Amino acid sequence: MFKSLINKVLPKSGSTKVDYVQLVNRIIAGDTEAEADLVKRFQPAVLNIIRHDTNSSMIEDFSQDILIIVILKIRNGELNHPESLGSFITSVAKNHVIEQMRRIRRRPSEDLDKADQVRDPSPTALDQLQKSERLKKVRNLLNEINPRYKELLLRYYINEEPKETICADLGMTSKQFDGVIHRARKSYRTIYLADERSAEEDVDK
Amino acid sequence: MNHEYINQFNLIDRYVLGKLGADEAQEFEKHFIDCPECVEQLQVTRSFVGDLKELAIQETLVSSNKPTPLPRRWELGQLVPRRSWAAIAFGCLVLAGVFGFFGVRRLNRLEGELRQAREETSAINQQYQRGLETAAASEKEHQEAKQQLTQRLEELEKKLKTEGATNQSVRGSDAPDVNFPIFALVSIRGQAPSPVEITLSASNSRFALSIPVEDTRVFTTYRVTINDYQAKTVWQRDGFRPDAYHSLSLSLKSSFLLPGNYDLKVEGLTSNQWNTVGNYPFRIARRR
Repeated sequence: MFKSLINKVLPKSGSTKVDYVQLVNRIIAGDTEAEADLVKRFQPAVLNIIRHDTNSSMIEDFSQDILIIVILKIRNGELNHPESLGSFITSVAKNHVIEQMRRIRRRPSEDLDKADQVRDPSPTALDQLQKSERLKKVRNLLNEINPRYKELLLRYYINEEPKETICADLGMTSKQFDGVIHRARKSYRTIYLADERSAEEDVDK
Repeated sequence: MNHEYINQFNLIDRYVLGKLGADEAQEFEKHFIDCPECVEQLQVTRSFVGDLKELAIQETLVSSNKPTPLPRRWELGQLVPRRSWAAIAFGCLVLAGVFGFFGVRRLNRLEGELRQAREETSAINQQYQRGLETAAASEKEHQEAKQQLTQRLEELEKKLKTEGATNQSVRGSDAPDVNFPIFALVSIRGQAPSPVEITLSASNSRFALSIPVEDTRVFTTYRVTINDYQAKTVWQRDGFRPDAYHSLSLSLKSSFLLPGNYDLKVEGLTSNQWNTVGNYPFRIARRR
């Protein structure tokens, strides 16, 4: 119990740094499995960073590009401090996004010319079906909760109203507010993970 | 940056919604790039927000496709959530019960006060009626007494007239006197009453005194004595007998007694002994 508590409070810097050093060394050595490991480990985080900086439909492409760039830089020995792999990837991601967005703004016609090279971002029928199922579950989830809490979620996440304003209007404390958010996310996480598992099973098929 | 800080300041939500400042966002990115737990939270939250927005869009499209309902002034379901109806209904019942209780209590109190007021009014009415009856009875008694007195006076006048004509000891003119005043004296009993005021005008040549004899003892004859304020006898006579009204009558000339206070004494004779029957003070006054 205490170990998990410590892990929550303190970053896993010690073990992470060791892992990073090993990972980088493996990549430098040409281990393709290490490269796959790097992608698997860092792609979700990179996606989040990209989505924070842009809402472009080319997020997936950007993330792949970024990780390729990182791997190439590692192979070329441009990563001087393997223990700072995380920070390195973050800075590469941000710079790439800025650069790409600048390029897109400067020459939008160029993107249109490369339209055939851009992956179709629209979801597949399977994706749409899964999404529809997920949305149904989310709708049921919202209908089952207290209307006050539903109002809280919609005002916070869709209207993006400040937490203090919502608390004042609904007569809630900050702690109560956080509790509602936590419970809602927890319930949604169940739906989300089930959906992810279902998607992976469909992919495997 | 640790998870306690991240949770306390809702960094995940704020990062997903783009509400973190640049520096704070950078710090958070430095943390979560190494933190699969935070990355998962970010993914879940981002998906949750996306699904909520998607649902909101769907709801908007569905409601816009629905035919516009007829405008109503208000819908209770919109104003008040259905779940609260039971609580509101219960609250209304409780309030109604409380008001009803106090209302009934006030009503009972008012009824009691009304009843009491009615009883008091009835008692006052009865008292008033009794007062009226008493007043009527008193008036009747007064009238009867007045009638009796008038009758007595008339009889006395007749008697005096006849006695005045035949009695030789009566001083004054032989010609009969008519309409002379008669004064009824009152005897002293216990507490001395004020003397009977006898006011004689110049036109009255004579006056009469009516003396009620209230002693129940039987005497053979009565004696009347008039003393002045100095207890000096100015007149005395015996041989009187009371009339049918137990009264003695005395007729005097107006000039016989000077103005002032007098005491008339009545005595009864038994076994050669005079017994006091009563004292009757009076005052003579002359009207000019």
